[in-house]
Amino acid sequence: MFKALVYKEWIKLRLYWTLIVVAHLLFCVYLCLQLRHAFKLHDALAVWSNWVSKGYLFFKPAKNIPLLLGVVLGCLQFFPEILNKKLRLVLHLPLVEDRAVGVHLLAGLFLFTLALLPGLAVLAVCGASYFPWEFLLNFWYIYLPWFLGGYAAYLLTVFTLVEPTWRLRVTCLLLSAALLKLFYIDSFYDGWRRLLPGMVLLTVALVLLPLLSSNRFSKGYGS
Amino acid sequence: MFKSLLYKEWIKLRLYWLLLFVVNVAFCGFLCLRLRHVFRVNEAVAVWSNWIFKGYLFYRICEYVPLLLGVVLGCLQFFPETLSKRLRLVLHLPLGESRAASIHLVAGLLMLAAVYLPGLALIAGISAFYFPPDFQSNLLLTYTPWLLGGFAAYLLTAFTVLEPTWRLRVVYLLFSAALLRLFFMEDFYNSYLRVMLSLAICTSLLFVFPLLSTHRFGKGYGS
Amino acid sequence: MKTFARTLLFASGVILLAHYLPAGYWLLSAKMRRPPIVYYSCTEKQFMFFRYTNQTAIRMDAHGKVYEREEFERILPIDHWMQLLRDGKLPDTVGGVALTAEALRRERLSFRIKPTMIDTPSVNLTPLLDADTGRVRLEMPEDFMRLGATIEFIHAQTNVVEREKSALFQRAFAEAGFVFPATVLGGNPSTMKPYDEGYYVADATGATFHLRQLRGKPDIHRVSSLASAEDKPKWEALKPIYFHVQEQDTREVHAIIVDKSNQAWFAVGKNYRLVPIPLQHYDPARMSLVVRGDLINRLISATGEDSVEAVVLNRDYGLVDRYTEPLVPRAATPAGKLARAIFPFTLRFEDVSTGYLGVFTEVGSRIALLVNGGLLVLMLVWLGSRKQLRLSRLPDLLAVAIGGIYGVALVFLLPKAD
Repeated sequence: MFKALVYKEWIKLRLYWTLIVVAHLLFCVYLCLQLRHAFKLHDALAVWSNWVSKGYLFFKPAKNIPLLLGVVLGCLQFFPEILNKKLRLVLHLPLVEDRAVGVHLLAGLFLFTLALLPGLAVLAVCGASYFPWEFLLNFWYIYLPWFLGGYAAYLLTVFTLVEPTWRLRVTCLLLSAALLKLFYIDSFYDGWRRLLPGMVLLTVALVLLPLLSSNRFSKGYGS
Repeated sequence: MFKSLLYKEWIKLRLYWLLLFVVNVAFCGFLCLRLRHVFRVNEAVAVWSNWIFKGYLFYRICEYVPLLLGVVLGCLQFFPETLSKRLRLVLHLPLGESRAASIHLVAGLLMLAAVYLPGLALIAGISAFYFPPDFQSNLLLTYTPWLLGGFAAYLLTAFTVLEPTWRLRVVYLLFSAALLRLFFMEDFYNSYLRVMLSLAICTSLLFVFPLLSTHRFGKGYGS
Repeated sequence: MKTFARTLLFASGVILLAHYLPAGYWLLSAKMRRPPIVYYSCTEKQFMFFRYTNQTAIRMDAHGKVYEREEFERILPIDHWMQLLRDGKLPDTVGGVALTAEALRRERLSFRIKPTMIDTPSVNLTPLLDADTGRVRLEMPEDFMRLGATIEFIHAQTNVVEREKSALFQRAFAEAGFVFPATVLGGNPSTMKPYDEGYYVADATGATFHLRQLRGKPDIHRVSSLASAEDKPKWEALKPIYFHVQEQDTREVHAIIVDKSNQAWFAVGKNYRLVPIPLQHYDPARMSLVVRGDLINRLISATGEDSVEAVVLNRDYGLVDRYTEPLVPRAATPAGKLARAIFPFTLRFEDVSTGYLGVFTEVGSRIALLVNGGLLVLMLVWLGSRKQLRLSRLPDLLAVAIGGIYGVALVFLLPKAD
């Protein structure tokens, strides 16, 4: 049952997913080309000191992509379900209700991670070839909150969409906006290193929210 | 027929419209509060100098909001039509095919204008307290490309969503991204002064593109 | 309608590709191309250069001889006086002028005028500093001056027009013979400077006025009436488009003025002497002007995309020497030639000449025309072989005829006519 559900989600999303992977990869390649251009046009020393003392990061334009991707993937995956109330069908399967929805979420999170990894690999390789190893460390520390923010965005989108009543959907939206802002505090770089464990815990805790919504959905609220 | 189609779209979208309206106005209100805070905490001369000589604009964060709202409204309005192929029903009405689609677009554009303009008016009104009248023309010239970008984003979203074949949808996505970037190229103020008229004409011409997609949909391509 | 929509789609596609494809091309193939920095040796009486080639820099003279850094610094004693002083190698005098550290430091002049300074978005509000408050340091005023159709002062904190002060200045302007509206205004709105020169304003007739605020009172004069008898006609004939004010320790140069005929001038000294800068090819819209002055000379260089010109003036602003060098513009490099051959035209929306956005076109070479023609023929043959040579395909063919490879890409990407 587990495999069948994951496969069903894959079939539903594969076209969009391929598009997203390709678009993200191309965007990361574009960022690397811009970095290469910067190194050709200026002294390597000037670019390094821009990074170290001014915090200029060539991958900063990619900051909002995990967030957008999380929201888009959440919408693409769950909008069809709620439009036609198809979620009911899934909840009638001989599976514990939480487990069914949990499998959907896992499929989504897994696809999300796979979608971002090729682009990230490109950025990391490019950064490593132009900058010293401190930069790679820098890179992971900075990208991790954005990545976690993407997971959080996905989970909160599902939370909002599956919630059956409009009144609470608005509350969900406000809560989501407030929570997501925490992942995108603009600091110099590395500024949130000490917050990282807290962020990870928060993201993991957020898995509970969509389960709460689907619970209310199956109980028949608002429909 | 004209009025009833407009009313149908309004009924479909009114809840979402209300949400978007509230979000836009609330966000603009938040920016005005921040402006008030800036003037309480800093010297007025310093804030004015920052604006005039460094191009620092308190409402610059709003730059991509019209774009996002346009895309969201376009998706909300036209995604349901294509998902269930409901557009066919509209095209079977005793109305010219272009005219039916145009009325849908006009409805969306009117709703967008009703979302954008109150927020802009709020910003203009509050800034009149803190800045001299020169600021208003500045605000208008800098904000207009973003507004035009929002309308353009709506029309291009409709253009992309209504297109029946996947191959062309991807092409149109690239086309839209390439075109929309041209609305957001300034980082100072008033930079669009000399090209504003061309930009406005260009945006209004985009109205015909969704009609092309509807025509192809009606001809039965890709389904 | 659908043909109109399709034509529009092709037209906008061609325009977008004409902007993005060349931009992508240059992103991949651009190389570092820096113009040489020009120096003038007061001991050897010749020009010296700091040239960038392939990620390294070489020091040369006008004949191509390469110098090591120490030799280069020895030949340019005033530009490197601090290093020579530390090494004990600074000569005592050059050309009869004693080189003391204090004099060298005080007599430095440095100006840079970029094209974007002349044509850039601006707001007509600026702070008029008080040049004589009695305090050692300059302080920012509490109000901003608006000089346009009238003169007004607006108190920043309360956002209210100061009626009395505005009326006072309005009267002073009228008495000085200023004809509103003001056309050009130039000054330095900062407190990080040794003193306050004030503003230079051109009125509606083009006459230049000098405006300052002294202890709250206006100090405005028509410059031509302050100038000496021989400079007066020059001031009256001057049609300025840009005033560059940058206060220096020497207090000698009031401003650099650029006029309508692309001539740059120094306004110097107590009598507002107007000295023309004798550059022959200065184009303010495309070249940046750098002035470096020291105890002995003034070196003025104008650097553009395809040429560098430098003139040296002595302390009395007489011409000492001149140097011109053509540079290889980007369009003449191999990458540039290839670009001009494959792209029939390119569109840019930003340009070095202005801070405003606009539409800047560059046309390709004649080879691009041939390429276009060839592609058009191929497209006709291809369409003919598929029996799709119909009138509805006209937008496609026009796109290929005008846009060359842009059109070909679009024919395959965009929807076909039905």
